[in-house]
Amino acid sequence: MEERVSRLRMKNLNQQPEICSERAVLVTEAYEEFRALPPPLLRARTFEKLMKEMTIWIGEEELIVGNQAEKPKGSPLYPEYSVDWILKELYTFDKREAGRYFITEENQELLQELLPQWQGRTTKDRALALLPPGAREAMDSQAFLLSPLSCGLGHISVNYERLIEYGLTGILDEIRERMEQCSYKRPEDVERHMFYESCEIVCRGMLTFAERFADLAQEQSRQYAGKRRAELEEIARVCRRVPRYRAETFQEALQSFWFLHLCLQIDSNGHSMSPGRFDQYTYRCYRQDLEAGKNPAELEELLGCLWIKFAEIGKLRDALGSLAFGGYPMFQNLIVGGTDSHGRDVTNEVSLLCCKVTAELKLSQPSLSVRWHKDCDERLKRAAAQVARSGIGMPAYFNDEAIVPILRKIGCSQEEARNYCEVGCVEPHVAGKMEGMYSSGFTNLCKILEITIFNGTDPVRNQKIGLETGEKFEDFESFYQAYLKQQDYIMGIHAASVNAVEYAHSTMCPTPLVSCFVDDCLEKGVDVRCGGAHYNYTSPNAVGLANLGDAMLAVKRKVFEEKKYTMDQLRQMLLADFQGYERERLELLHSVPKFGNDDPKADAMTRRAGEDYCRQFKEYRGYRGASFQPGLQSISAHALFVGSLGATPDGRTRAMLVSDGGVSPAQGRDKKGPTAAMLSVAGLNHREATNGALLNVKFHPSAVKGEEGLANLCALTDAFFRQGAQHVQYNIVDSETLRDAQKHPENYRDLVVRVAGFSVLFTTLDAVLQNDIIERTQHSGI
Amino acid sequence: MKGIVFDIQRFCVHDGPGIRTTLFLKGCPLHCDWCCNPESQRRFPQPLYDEAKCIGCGSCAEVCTRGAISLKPAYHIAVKICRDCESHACVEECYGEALSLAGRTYTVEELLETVERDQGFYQFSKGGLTLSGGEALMQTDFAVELLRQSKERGIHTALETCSACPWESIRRTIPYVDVYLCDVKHTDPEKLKAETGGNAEEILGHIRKLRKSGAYIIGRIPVIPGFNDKAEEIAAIGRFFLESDIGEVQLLAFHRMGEPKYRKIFREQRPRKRQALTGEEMQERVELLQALGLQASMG
Repeated sequence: MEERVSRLRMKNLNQQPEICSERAVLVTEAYEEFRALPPPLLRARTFEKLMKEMTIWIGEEELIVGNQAEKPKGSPLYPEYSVDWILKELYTFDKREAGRYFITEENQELLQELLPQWQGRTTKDRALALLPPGAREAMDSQAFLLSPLSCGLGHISVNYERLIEYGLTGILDEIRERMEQCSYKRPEDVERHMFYESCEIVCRGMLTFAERFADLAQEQSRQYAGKRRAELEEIARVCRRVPRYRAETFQEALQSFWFLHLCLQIDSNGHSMSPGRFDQYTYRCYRQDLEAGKNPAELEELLGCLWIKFAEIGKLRDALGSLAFGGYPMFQNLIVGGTDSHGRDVTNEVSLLCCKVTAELKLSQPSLSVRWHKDCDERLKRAAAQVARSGIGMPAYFNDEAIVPILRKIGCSQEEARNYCEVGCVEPHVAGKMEGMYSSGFTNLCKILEITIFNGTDPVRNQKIGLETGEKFEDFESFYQAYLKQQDYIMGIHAASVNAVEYAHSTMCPTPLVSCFVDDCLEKGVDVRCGGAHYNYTSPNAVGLANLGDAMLAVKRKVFEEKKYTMDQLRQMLLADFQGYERERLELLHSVPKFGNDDPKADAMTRRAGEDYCRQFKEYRGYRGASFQPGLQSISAHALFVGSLGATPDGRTRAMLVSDGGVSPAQGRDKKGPTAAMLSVAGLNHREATNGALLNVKFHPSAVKGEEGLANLCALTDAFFRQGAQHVQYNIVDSETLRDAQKHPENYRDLVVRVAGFSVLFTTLDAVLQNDIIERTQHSGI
Repeated sequence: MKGIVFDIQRFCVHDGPGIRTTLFLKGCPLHCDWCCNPESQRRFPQPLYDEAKCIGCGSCAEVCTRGAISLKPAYHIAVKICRDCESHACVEECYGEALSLAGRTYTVEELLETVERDQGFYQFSKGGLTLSGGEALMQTDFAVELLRQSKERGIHTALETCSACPWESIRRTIPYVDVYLCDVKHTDPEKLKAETGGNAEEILGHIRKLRKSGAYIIGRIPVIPGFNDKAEEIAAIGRFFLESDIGEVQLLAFHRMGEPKYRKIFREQRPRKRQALTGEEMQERVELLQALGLQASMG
């Protein structure tokens, strides 16, 4: 690692996340100043004001510049989306266990003064007002989780390549041309014109932003002599050139990319803004630099500097969100490798460099992903395995042979599908073509099972939230059908709630900046939030699939086949949280096969439940005319349901978490090693899970040591993917290390672990998630 | 054909190349003091009892038709009474999994069906099946059949053996084994006899003969504190391998993972008087073997 990068890294690790109030102040002013404007123009002018007035800085030794807040790792506030929780938690942000944020007293006072005027005027308020009947009750019981309620929607990979190749001037030319074609003979052009105007304003805003950095660099350069002076002068030159024009050097490409990536997050605070196929769209400039005789070590240093910038992005979440998304993750998914439109491997030096820098820096951002296919470059396989072995839970491996067909199935062309990237954790995506609404929330499958057993009532809150489907069942099939009825009922409410959120955003907070980089927004003259994208989907996810499958099989065996217990007896045990029924609990847990052991019966039940979930949700239609594309990935949402979910018939007590990740077996139940678990998972219907299916596999370092260990890791991935699975990620860290890190967090500040679709610093997680990570099955290799 | 197997472990990455499935066949001619699988030694199936998992429900004693289980004063299973039991109802009835059965009877087909499940993983990692024990060749016919049919199905095979069995047993496996993992615990006949009951002359002779037949052999040395861990003892074993034309040797570090198992089968283990070698000392032994000209590594 270059010394500069190593110093920047240490600085970043030691930096405390802090709340920054500047954005909230500027946005409040802008909303006052521009209150006459309709939403698209109001949003554009607000963004422009931020670009002109927010504090900017260039850090010591930085080569790639551009900041989100007044300090690195600072989190700005986004009052236009919600303020209720900020006001509620204003004095506890710096005291909470997970996702802690420092805040000064001045800022507390300022925000206490400023934020109340936003109450009733946010997207959250509007969405809440539009929720369908039954939604509050279902959400109070956590039958589903409406995760996008409080913030921007994020979750997209835009067409960064367009910016690098054409610059903003190219895009502004297109906007101008289209604006001129608007005719007042067509009533719809009133809104289209407004949209183009908003696009023009945000692009110009970004140009101003870059100019400010150029000026600042110029000014700072005067204080130095020698190397730093030259560096700052080069930064100034680069910032005057990009993002205005086409990038020609690697530094220009990275800087241009960073301005857009950063501005997307300044505009709106949705997470999972994903760089996509970064190694592909930066490669031309890398190649040009090499040919011009630049030193590869310098190019590597530039990449290292960019990686540090990724780790500076912050997002303040509410207390619950901090539990669900522990450890400040931003899900900036950057994918390398894969094929071109003809299916030929396109691994290049930048792909390998991304792996190298990620393994060396061991930061939790960006989220590195690797595309895997049967002709995958061996160098990339090896580099990826080395990243995996570094113990940071990256990369996420994605199987082209599973994901390309999925994208074909939901309507993409072969060329588009082969150009896929991933958004957030494991959401298949075609950059610059899609709005997938990947933050459509999570279904708590076990809660639905619970209300099926208790005739529509949530036994934990003693509240009716579902349908009355009866208490007695003829046979297992009628029980299962009752479950499907309840599931469909909850899905209906969930779908209508997501649509309410989307309606609120499209009418209050359109995103012209995103729209400039997503086809066909400019062509249609419609914002991405209002359906401008070429492809529109809504993508909810399921939590606790393995527990649902295990519980279904337990009910089938013990209640209907062996008739050992009646439904009444089962209800009694569950209500008692198995207190006084330990032997019965162990019987349900151990005498019925469980998902994750390559057992055909258990696997078939889980497969069926997963298929039905996906099939049922696909019946719904979303805002923007989107079809629902469900996924089997729970990220770490499973940690949220502790306490609100009662005991379940798979022998799980109320205090135990449901399964993690998405399609991972329930914790500790996969007893036959990773190959058996992987075969079980591969046996699910991955084609139906169009929004991704996530598997965590945890290894002890001894299982992957040496050259042979690397080869075995590649072989595992090869064999797993040959079976048609979509994704896998490996957590390679021993439990002793993790336990020690719990005791002595100070010694493990840089210990990164994979939680689910993302990696975070272990010590920033709360104890529940920490213990969960330690307890997940650990395969040591025997 | 049927045989008794006490464990099936998938994803084994340390017993032979690649990702493997290891079948542990029950029964062993030796009785090494430090054995980490004491439940492997007897030929017949036997229950293991894990006190920590027991909820004290007593179902096991209720279903045992022979009265082999007593709950008081301390939980005990009279292994002699249940040695030829075929029902193992006590284990089936134990939902807490405090009782587990070491040794179940399987057919060759049943086992290979499980082994074949991971065929994809073997292909990509160049792995396959490993037979271990106990001593797999205590059930020679069964072991040979497993190996033969594996080869028929295109599965790579490894056999881990202590070589303390009739030459005829070893000879019969030669056509079906891709790699042998041969343990040598000591070269001194008296020491070996005392702590393992093995006959050094026979064991070393078999290994030489096996190598002469053209078999691919990886030598293995379990390093046991106070028994064979001195530099000169390890060197003597190394020289034996070298002289036998066996170039690849793995040193296996001593571990105590087997200790709790002695309690589970109601036996006591004699504690080792000496401390295990440190990682550094183990590395020295590896280097010592390398200096002899062997391709030595930590297994």
